Amino acid sequence: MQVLLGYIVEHVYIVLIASLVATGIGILLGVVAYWVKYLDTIIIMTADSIQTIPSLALLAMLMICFGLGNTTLIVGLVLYSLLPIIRNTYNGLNNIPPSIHEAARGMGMSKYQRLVKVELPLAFPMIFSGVKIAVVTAIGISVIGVLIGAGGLGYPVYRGIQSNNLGLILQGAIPVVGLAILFDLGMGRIEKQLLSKKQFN
Amino acid sequence: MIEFNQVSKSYGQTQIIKDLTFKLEEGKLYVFIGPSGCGKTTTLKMINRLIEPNGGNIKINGEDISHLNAVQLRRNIGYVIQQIGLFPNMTVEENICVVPRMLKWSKEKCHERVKELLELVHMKYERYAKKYPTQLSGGQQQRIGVLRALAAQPPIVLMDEPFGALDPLAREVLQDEVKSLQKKLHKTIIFVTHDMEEALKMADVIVFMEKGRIIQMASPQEMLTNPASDTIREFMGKHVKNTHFLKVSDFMDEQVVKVSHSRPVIEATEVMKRKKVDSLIVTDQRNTFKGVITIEDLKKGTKGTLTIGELLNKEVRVVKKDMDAKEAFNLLIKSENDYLVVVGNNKEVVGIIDKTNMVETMAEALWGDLA
Repeated sequence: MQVLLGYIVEHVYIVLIASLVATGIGILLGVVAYWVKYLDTIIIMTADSIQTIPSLALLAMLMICFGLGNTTLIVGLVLYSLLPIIRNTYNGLNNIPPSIHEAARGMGMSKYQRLVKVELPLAFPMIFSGVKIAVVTAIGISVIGVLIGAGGLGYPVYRGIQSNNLGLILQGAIPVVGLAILFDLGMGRIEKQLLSKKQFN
Repeated sequence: MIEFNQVSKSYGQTQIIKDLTFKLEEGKLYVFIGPSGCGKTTTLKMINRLIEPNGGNIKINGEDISHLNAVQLRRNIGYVIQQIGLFPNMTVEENICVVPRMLKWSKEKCHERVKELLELVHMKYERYAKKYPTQLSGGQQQRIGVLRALAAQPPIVLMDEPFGALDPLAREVLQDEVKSLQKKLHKTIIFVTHDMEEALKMADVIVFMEKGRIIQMASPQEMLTNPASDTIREFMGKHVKNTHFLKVSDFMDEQVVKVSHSRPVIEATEVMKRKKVDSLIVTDQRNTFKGVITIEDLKKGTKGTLTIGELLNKEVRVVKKDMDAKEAFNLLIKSENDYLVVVGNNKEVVGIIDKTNMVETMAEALWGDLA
């Protein structure tokens, strides 16, 4: 039991670190795509094509650069998580009514002030749903991290397959499903609250 | 205060603003008006550099604004837009304080300012300051929009069709409020609208633009009495009919039931029955006024009377069609008859005025076109 708990903690740790980094980079790239109009297609298409690479292939390629271990898995998860976050940031910012934009400009807010004080707060519910998608996906994908020597709940699953032990497989699989559902529901709830906030309706 | 010097602006081939040169004085409310596409909004947005001109220069207090930092410039110019544009993620108080906070006012000073401003428009601080824009009505939102523009006490305020999206009731209230704020605070306000009624009500000076040029710049009174072009006259529409200059011909009824004086009496009875009137205007063949004939007059007739002319009643007052309306109204009120006959220069009948016309005209002068 204690061993299993260790796997769960490591799994969540990997996912959270990856999501945190992905959120930072994703919002940044989303803002760049929003600010620099001719870069938007390039950024989104790149993130899009990364996501089409099969996860195992991506991790294998990354392994060449980063070696075996958690770091490689985290880098892979970050790359996978970028698309929903970038796309939602970009869309969220672009969906702000032009009148708000004009008012902010006309009142003498600098580009940076507009972003921090008005645009990002207004796009936040949408960005958050992007992060939710990223986190839930990452929980599932990180299971295969065991193949490149990373820890987490992939380990019991892999060992179960090797030793043909269904119990061991389920020991890994059930917590993964549980975590995914837990994060999906929990973050979905926050998302709903954000969207129903009186300011945004 | 604000000076345009041969300013022009074009997008590609289309020139929006052509060699615009004018001066605006401090402390007045200028209303820019004109048909859509005339360049009034472009002119407004060039003042806070949301739009940059292609040629010429704009000076504020003698300083060429293209040499100033655009962001700094805008913080010293209030800006109100039609779509209101309050920030939905901020409370009323935070919205009002956006510019003061950027100008590094202290929290206490901002707070005091919000209280003071809300008081100006009779909104209770306790009730409204912590609300979000979506919790307010359209009129209240734009009131906050106006306060937000005034918050940092800018000497100049730009208003781009600020009340265009409001319902008529809210619009009127806000017009009054802005006008009274202007009187109190002596701001230089540049106000763009396409509604002449609003312009006449608000403006110290109306600036009429067409095709990127200023056609006329004058006080509302001057523009009413002396419109510089046909477009302006058209735009003024009904407003041009200033009551001081109303003539009888402006409100007379041209539908007159007439009979010729040489016709037999029986015909007068017929016409009255058919048109459901109790008196007729009698003229000769050349339409010259001869008198009137009423049912009472007809009763006086005997078998011997042959033509209408013999029973003519000449007591009805006649007025000339270019007589001053007020004079005619006086006559009508004093007259025992229900109407006056309006005649042209050769005594030809052109219409009548009765008390209904009079009431309608007065109502229109008071409340505008009722139809």
